[in-house]
Amino acid sequence: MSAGVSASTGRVAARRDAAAGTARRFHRSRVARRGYGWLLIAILTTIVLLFPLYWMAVTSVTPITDLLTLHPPIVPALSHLELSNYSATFRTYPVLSWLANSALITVGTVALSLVVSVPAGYALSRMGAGGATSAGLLMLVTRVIPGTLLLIPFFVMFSTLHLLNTLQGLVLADTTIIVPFAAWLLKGFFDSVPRELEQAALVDGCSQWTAFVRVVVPLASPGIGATAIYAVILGWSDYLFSKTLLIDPTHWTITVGAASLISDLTVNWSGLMAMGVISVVPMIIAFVVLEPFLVSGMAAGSVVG
Amino acid sequence: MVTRPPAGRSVQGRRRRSRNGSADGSRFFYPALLAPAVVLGLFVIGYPLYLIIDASIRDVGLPNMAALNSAPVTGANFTALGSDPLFRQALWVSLLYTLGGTLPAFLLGLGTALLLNRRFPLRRIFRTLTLLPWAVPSVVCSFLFLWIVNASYGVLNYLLLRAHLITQYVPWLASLRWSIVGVIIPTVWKSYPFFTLLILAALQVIPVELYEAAKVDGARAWATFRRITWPGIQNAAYLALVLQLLWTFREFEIIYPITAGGPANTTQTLAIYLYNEVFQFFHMGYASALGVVTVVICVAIVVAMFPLLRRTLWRS
Amino acid sequence: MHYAKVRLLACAGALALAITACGSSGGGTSASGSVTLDFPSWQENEPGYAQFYQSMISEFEKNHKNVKIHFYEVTYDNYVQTITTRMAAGNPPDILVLPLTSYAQFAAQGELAPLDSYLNKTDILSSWSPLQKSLEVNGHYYNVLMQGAGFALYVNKQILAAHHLSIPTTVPRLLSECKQLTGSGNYGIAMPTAQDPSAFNDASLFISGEGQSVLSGTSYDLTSPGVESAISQYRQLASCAAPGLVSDQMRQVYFSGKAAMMLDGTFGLPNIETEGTASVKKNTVMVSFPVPHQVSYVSSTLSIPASIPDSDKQLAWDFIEQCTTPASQALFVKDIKSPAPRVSVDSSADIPFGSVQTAAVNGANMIPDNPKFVQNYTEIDTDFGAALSKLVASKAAVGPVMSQLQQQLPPVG
Repeated sequence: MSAGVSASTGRVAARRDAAAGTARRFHRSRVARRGYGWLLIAILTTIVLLFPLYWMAVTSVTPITDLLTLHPPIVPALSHLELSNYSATFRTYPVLSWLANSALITVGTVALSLVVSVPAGYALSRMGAGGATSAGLLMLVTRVIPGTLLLIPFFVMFSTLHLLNTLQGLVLADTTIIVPFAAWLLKGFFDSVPRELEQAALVDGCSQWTAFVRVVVPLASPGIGATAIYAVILGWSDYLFSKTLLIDPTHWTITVGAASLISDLTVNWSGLMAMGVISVVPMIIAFVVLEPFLVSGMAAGSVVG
Repeated sequence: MVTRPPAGRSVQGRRRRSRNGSADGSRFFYPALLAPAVVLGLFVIGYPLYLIIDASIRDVGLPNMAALNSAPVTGANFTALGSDPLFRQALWVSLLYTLGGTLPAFLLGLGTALLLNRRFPLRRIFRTLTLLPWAVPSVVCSFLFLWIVNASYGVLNYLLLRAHLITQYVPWLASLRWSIVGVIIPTVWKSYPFFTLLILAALQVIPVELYEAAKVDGARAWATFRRITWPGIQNAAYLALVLQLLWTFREFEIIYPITAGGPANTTQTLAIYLYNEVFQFFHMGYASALGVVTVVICVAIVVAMFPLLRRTLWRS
Repeated sequence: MHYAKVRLLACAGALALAITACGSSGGGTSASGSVTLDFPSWQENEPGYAQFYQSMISEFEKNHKNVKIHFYEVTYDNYVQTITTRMAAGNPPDILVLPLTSYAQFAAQGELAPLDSYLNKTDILSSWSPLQKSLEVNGHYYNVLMQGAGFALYVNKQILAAHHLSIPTTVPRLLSECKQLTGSGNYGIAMPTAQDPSAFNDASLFISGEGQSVLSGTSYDLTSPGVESAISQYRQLASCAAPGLVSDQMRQVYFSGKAAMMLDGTFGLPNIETEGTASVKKNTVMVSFPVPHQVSYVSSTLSIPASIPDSDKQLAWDFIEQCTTPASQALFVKDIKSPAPRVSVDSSADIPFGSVQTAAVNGANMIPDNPKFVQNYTEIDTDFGAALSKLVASKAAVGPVMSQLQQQLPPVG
C-alpha cells in the first residue's frame, strides 16, 4: 500500500478490523453470557405473564374448600388434587357438542373468510391507490361500530334469512367481522408479490384467475396462514354473536356454554375453571401448532415495514 | 437483422394499456374479486348503521322493529345527552379504560417484543408462550380474572399481601376507586400479545448490520433504540396503537361479565352504558343516540391519528 | 399443487357450511298442522323446577293432541337480552317466564297480552297469593304469579354451637353474633357485598322489615330516622360478610362452611343440598330473618306475548291455567319444595321448614303499592345498588348517601 491516503485508510482499516475482531470476540463471548441472561429474563417474564393460566389450571383440580381460604395453595400438593371437576363437567353438560359446534363454526369461518378476503386483498392490492384507500377505510370503519349495537340488527337480518339458531348463520356473522381486517392484511402481503410474476404468467397464456391462483396465492401463503390464524382465534372466541344468534342449548358454542356455568344461584369456582380450561385447551393446541406461521407470516409480508 | 422487441417491453406496453393493471383488459376482474367482501362489509355496516341512526331520532323504548317506523321522530335523545350525568361519567370511564388498557399493553408488548428479538436458547418456545393470552376467549378471560381479583379469596390479593404491597385485601370489583383497575388488568393481559406480534414482526425486518455498526460506534442502548429500533417499528407501533385503542374503546366482552358496569357505574364505559340502556332499561332510542356518539368518537380518533397512519394504512 | 390447496380450502368451506346446515330451529306450525309452542326458561335445568314444568308439559300435551311445547334453557344472565332481542325482531317465545326486574316494563310497553278476560273465567284472582295484586299494570293484569319468595336466615348450627351462640331472633342480636363469628378467614354471615340486582331486596328487607317505607305518599323519604337506622343495620351486617362478592359468589362461602349464616331467599335449600359440604348440609336450619315484619316479593311470573296469533295465545293460556289448578299447585310444592301461590294449598307440613317459608312468603310485598314504582323498578333497583355499594365499600355517612339517592331516583308521583 502507498503512503498518505492509503496509509491512513490502512490505519483506519486496521483499526476497524481490530475493533471488529475485538467486537467479534467480545460479541461471541458476550453472546454466550447474554444468551443465558436473556433466557433468565424470558423465564421470569413468562412465569408472570402466564400465571393466570397456571392458576386457572390449578383451581380446576383443587377442591373448592381448599380455595376459599386466606392461604390459597399456589403450588398445591399433588396428593390434594382431583379431577372430579372435569368428570362432573363432562357429565352434567353437553361439553362435547359445544366443542364440536365451536370447531365446526371455526373451520367454516376460516374457510369462508379466506375465500372472501384472499381475492379481495389481491384486488385491493392491484387496484392501486384507490384500492389502498378503500382497504384502509373499510378496515377501520368496521372497527368503529360498537358490537352491542349490531346485536338487534343482526338478529333481525338473520331471522329474515332463516339463519337463526344455525351454525352457518354464525359462520356468516363471524366472517363479516373478520373480512375487513383480513382483506387489509392480505393486501399488504400481496403488495410484496411483484406484479411482474403474474404479468409473466399472462404472457404465457394464463387467464387472470389462473395467474392469481397459481402464481400469486402460493407466494402469499405466509400471509394467508397469518390471516387464517387470526380467523381461528376470532371464530373460536366469539361470545356476543353466539349468545345472541344461537338459541337452543344444543347449538351453543363452548364460550356460551362456559358462561352458562355462572348460573344465577351459585358459582363453583373449581368447576368454572375446569370449564375454562376445557374451552381454552383446543385453542392453545391450535395456537402452538400455527403460531410459527403467524410471526414468520407477519414478518415476511413486511406488513408494517 | 430484424430484432424483435424484447418480451419485457411488450409486457410493459400491455401494462400501460389499461390503468388498473389487468393485462388482458378485463375491467371486471378486480371488482369481481372484491364484490363478496364489499357485500359482507355493507351487511355489517349498512343495515345496522341505518337502524341505529333511525332509532336515535325516534321516541322508542323497548326495541321493536315493527313499531320503529311508526314511532314519532324526535331530537330529544340527543338533547338528553347534554344533561345526563351518566353520559359524562361514561365518557370519563371510557377515557380511563381505553388509555389505561392500551398504554400498559403497548409497553408490555414493546418490552416482550424487544426481549423476543434477542437471541437466546429456546426462544421459539417463549415466543409462543408469550403470545398465548391472545388465544384465550374474552369471556373465559373475564371469569378467570373475576376469580383472580376476587375480593375475599382471590390470588392477586394474596400475592400482593405477601409481597407487602398492600396491607389488607382490596375489594377490587366492589371498590368505587379500584374497580376500573380490576377490569383493566384482564384487558391488558389479553391485548398485549397484539402489540408483541406486530412490533416483533417489524423488529425482525430491521437489518442486523445496523445494530452491529452501532455497537462498533459505541452507541449506548437508549441511543440505539432511538435511532435504529424506533424508526423501524414506529409504523407498526402506531398502527397497533390505533387499532387497539379503537378495539378497547368498544370492548364489551371483558367488562360486562365481570362488573356489568358497576359498582355505581364506575366501570360503565360508553359501550356498556349503551348495552344497559337497551337491554336493562329498554331505552332503544337513547341507546342509539349513544351509539351514534360512539361511532363519532371512534371516527375522531382515526382522523386525529391519520398523519401517523398514512404510511401504513394507505400504503400501496 | 397450490391451486389444489385453494380448491381444497374452498371445498372445506362449502362442506363446513353444509354440515352445519344440519342445525335448524323449531317452532311454528308445521305442514301437518301440529303446533309447537316455544317456551324458553332459565329454570329449565334447575332442580325441582325442571321436574315440575316437565310434568306440566306432559299433561298438557296429553290433553292437546296436536300441540307440542319446546321447553329449553336460556341462562339467567342472558335471559332478558334474549327475550328483548326476540321481541324486537317480532319473534317472541309463546310462553314467557319473567322475573321481577322486567315484567312490568314489558307490560307497560305493550309487549304482553292482557290476561283479564282469561283470568275472569278462573278462580285465580280470588285464590291467589296477595302478591298477584301487585302485578296489576295500568289497571290490567298481564302476568300470573308463579312463585312468590321471602327472605330467610340459613344458620349452620354447628358453627354457632362451637361459639356457644344460639340462633338470633332479633336484629341487634344477629349483628352482635355475626361480629363475634367473623375473623381469621371466617365470616358471620354470607350476603351480597358488591353491587348486585338484589340490592333493593336487601335494602327492603331492613327498611320494610322494621316497618318503614321508602315512600311517603308519592315521594321518596329515604332520610327519615327510621330508614337511616335500617340502612345502618344493613351496613353493619354487611361488614361481617366476605367483601366484594355478588349473590351467586357469596353463596359459595356458606356452602363451604366459611360463613356461619346466610341471608338469602326462601328458595335456597335445594342449592345447599347440591353444593354444600356434608357438614353444612347436615347442620343447616332455615329460620325467619329476625326482622319484626316479614317481607316478600315476586320471584317469577308467567305471561303471553301480545304479538303471537290468537290461537297460540289461547293454547299458551291453557298451559298457564293448567299450572294453576289445585292439583298442579300441589305438585309445585312437592317438586320445588316451596310454598305455592295458590293459598289453599297448605305447604307447611310438606316442605322442609314449611312454617318458616310460608310465613316469609306471606309477608308484606317489598314493592310499595304505587303503579309507577314497579314500572321504574329496574332503574330504582340499580340506583339503590349504587348507593348500597357506596356504603359498603367506603366509610361515607348514611345520611348524605341516602339523600343523594333520593334525588337520583325516578319520580313515582
